[in-house]
Amino acid sequence: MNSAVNLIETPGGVYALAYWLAAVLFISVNKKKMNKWKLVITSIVFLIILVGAMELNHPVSKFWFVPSVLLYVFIIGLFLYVSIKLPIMNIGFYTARAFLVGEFIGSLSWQLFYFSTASDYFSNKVWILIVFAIIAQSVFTMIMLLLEQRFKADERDFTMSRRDFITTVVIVSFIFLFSNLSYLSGNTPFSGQAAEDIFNVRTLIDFGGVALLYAYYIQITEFNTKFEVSKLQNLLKLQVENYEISKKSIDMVNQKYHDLKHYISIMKSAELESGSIEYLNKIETEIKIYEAQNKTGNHVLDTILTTKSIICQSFDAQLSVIADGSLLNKFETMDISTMFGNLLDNAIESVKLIPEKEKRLIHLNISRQKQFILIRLENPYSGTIKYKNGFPITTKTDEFNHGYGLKSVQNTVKKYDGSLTINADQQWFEIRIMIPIKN
Amino acid sequence: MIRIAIVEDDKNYIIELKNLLSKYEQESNQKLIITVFEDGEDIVTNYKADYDIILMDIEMHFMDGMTAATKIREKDSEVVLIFITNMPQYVMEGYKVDALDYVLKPLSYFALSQRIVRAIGRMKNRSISYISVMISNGVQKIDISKIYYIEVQNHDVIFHTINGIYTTKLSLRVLEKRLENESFFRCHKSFIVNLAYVDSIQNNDININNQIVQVSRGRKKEFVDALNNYFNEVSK
Repeated sequence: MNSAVNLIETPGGVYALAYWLAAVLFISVNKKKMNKWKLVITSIVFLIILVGAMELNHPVSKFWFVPSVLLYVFIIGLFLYVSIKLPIMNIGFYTARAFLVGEFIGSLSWQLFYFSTASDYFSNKVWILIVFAIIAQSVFTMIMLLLEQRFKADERDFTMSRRDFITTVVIVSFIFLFSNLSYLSGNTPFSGQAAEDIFNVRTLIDFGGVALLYAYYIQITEFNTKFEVSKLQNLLKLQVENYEISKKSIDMVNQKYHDLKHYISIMKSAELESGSIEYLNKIETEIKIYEAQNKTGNHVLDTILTTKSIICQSFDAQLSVIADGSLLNKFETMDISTMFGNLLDNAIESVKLIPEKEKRLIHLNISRQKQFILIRLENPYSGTIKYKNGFPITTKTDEFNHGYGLKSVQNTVKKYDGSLTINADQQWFEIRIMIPIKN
Repeated sequence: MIRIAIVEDDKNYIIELKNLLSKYEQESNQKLIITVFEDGEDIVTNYKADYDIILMDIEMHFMDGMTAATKIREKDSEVVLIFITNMPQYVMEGYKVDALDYVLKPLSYFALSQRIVRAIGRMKNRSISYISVMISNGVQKIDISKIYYIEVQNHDVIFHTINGIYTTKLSLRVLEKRLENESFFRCHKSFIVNLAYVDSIQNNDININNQIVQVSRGRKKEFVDALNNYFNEVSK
């Protein structure tokens, strides 16, 4: 333990610890794949692997420099992959960030150590270096953690495109190359000769890289949120527009129906043969069906139900409704149309995929329980349901639209202080909504 | 064993329903006991709460299904009512008699059997369970289903029940463990409520039998979700 440290070459262990801390930082803020104890054991295993790989591989020749760095990146990536529950592209992005953060806190802590040995406060002993590295790096990691915590969980599950990913890889490669240029050759415009220069260049460029990726990350997540908001707004507009079109046509049918009823009564009052009267009676009972359909006590709901049952009929699905629509009379038209429009559209999309026609059933209930409105929508489904942020996404439908419908329903339910839960068992899918009735 | 009543005036539908039910009996390995009534009036006269499920036709000669259902509900709040109809518009008001299900004619085996499966799933488990606690003058046996809510004050646990208030000393951990599979929810550090008695929520106030219990902000979402699920599981 008394051996002196070679001050120009940064020991592998310092970087191994830095990479590891950075990886742990990004794991801690994301959704994990395993429980606490498994995670602790996995982390220890990866710490040993990283320290082992970097110490054994030290010092590294110029030829092996880049391949060994790629190996370390791979180990960090693997560590994140086994621990974080996110798509592979996002893991790649976090790996890049962890690598740069690791580079930065590694070189910064080493630079500080180097500086303090020069000023005679410390002697350059290995054990001092270890204590110093652990303290300094932990402090830097904590600062990074604070910066990282401003992102919410659902922002982390952003959609990472290939282009974003390639950009990230290019940024990281350049940052790394420039920061380490002095080690490969002292004779370039960006290299330094003296130890202080080398350290300064490296730390500053790494700092720039960390900041750049952080900014890039903010940009991606903000773009994602904006995209989602505009998607939700479009959906909202669409449901309202649908509702207005349906309302017009249904109103027209109703108008015609009333006219017809009127004509029939006039014709009946005229003296006709008994056969004609019978015929008129028959017409009367037949059109009665149109009158009675979907009278729930709420006009907006009636219109939506009529439209959706026509869609259902077109592919032999059955929409059965027992609903006290009057419970919704205090709701805004837009809210009713988004909520039920989206709920029923989702159910329709889902039962459409069922090959057996007799299984295409959609059942809607709206009822009151004490001071609560209960809404329940049930339908069978085929295949399996995947969840993203607690929302089900169907595997077969359009990649971009899934989940948004329910998300907008969720927003409406939230607006009324209610609860929305999703339950899927025995091939039945059930959405349950409860909204307190305000005094 | 599931006791089912069929109320239907059309002989052909009675035969069809019986066939579908016996198919279900074989597939599900459940014993069904089926009673047939040919009019709403027949089942309503001398009605005894003897059935788990009633399959009710809507259009019948003497007494229609909705009227019969209303009369049945006056005497039996537990039975599951499922309407069988070819006129869905007439069952829209089924919610008035706590009937949230119907099956359309012409009948399909899938639709009928699935509604019965759902109904069985929602049938109340009527077993009564008790919790025995030490009170000042001995041991008190408390019917868990009759607890409104439980209050925790310092080291005292206070049971607010239909039959009165009981104070005891009990570890919260033990208590929560005991109530795990019951309809209870810890909505605050000092309150555990029986979801069955929650009448309303206004902001962070829960009204239980005209008493106000607080829900803490951090547990509000979980609480409303639990209540939502509870209502769904007990509704017919």
